[in-house]
Amino acid sequence: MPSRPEVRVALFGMKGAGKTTLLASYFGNQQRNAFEERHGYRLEAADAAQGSVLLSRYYRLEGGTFPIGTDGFDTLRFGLKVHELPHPSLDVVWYDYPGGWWETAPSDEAERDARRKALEQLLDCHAAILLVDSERYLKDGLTYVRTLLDQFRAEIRRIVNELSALGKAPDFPEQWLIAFSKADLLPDNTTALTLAEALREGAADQLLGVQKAVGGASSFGHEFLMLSAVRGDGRRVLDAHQSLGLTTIAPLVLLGALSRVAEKTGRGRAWGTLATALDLMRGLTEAIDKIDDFLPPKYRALTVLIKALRTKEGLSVSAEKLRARQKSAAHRGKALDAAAYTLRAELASPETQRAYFKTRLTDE
Amino acid sequence: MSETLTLRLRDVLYRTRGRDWDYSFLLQPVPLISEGWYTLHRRIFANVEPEPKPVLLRGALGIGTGQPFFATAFTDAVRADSQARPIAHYIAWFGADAEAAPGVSFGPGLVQALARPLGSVFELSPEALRNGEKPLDTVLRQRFQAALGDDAVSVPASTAHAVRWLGTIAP
Repeated sequence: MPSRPEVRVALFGMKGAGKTTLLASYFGNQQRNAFEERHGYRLEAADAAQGSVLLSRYYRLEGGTFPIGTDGFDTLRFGLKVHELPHPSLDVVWYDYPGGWWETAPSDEAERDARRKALEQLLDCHAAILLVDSERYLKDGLTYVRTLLDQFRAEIRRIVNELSALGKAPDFPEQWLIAFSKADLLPDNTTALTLAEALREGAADQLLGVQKAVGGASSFGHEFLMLSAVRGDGRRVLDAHQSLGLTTIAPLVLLGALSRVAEKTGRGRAWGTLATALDLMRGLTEAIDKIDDFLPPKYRALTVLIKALRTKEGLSVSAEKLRARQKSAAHRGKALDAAAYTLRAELASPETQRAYFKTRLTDE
Repeated sequence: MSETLTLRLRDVLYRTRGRDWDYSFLLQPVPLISEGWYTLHRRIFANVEPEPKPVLLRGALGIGTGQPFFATAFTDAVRADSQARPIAHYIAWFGADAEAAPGVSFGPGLVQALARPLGSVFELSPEALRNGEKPLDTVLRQRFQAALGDDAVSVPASTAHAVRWLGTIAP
């Protein structure tokens, strides 16, 4: 397999928060012919057997039912393969951290060992996502969110203790996204901004608690995302082809890295909706020549893609035009350029504009 | 065609979930390796997606002279978790009896035979199960086993299914 850049994302969520469904939808929808025709790329599972399991879950979604809950930590690697190119240009790797681990001690030494190995992989991630279950948020409001965040802080502390026992520094990802899963259940006028405001007002103490637990430099509590794997009613899937936010995750990780370069070089902070953040980013980072110098080592393989987000055009170019450039780059055999246009096109999709918000304040 | 199989419960590794508690071992044979069963269970059922129709698996764990197993995974027709998703049953049967058993589906019959002890723990909340520092599944297993009757159960096994051969699995 040729060496290529990879974006690594850890996914945290209590059991029932929708992790299994998100991953099945993420892979399944990006396999569909209609998706490939429109977006000019598809995903390939690095492990065919794993891909087959994900597809069987996706077909279940298409049949109207949610997949059963899963058991254990999984690493899922997908290659992003642009049309006309012989190999994937980029890998997206997901670490699916089981919610049950928050609640129960390991049953034996084998499970304890499996958890240790999972923790070591988490440290190597570029970004982490904490899922907030929209269904429970609608039902129990901020009480649920506060409980979730307190439990998550306890889990992070347990992870820190485990890592310390292994002699490892708890070097968590700097980028954390708080993502509302099952966002299709939220009222139509909900945006990532309104959710961010509600949480930062009603769960400020808990957000700060987790931020301190994962390391003060982290972005925990500042980036909010709406995710939806399907359109459903909570019990049945009504449309497995309607998802929100899933394809923006990889480009958001690159955007986050670029944003931190701007902060580290004292140029300021990109914030706001995707359109605003990209616009600000252009001004903040275009004068930085050596982005590599400001990126932690684990991000350096992504530099070319990160630079591609530092565009003079912001989001003024439509997704369609970016996809045309993606096609042209692929035709010329420029794999990384094609991947970069692919990712920018995902950020430019109109339906994703309400799904992301980054707050302005850096501290409270 | 229907026949009856007899399973000694000490030869059975059984993992399932409750309405609110996550996947746990309710039956465990004496561990084959010092680390316990978790990794072996994950290897046997790697990339198996339980469906209503039971999946049957045969193979051996590469421990000592080889530990043959006959395993099955399927979703429950009735029991569901708190999200209304069907729960899955993962059962691995070890030993000479398992190796000699015909390739018939025995999982639903076994779960039916274990309905009373499963019923005694299925609805329990994780909070109610907390008992000092003991892992949740240790407490669950103790309660489940306290409700068991005999050391062995006879289960009706139904028509032959295709059996997936896994070969020898490294520990």
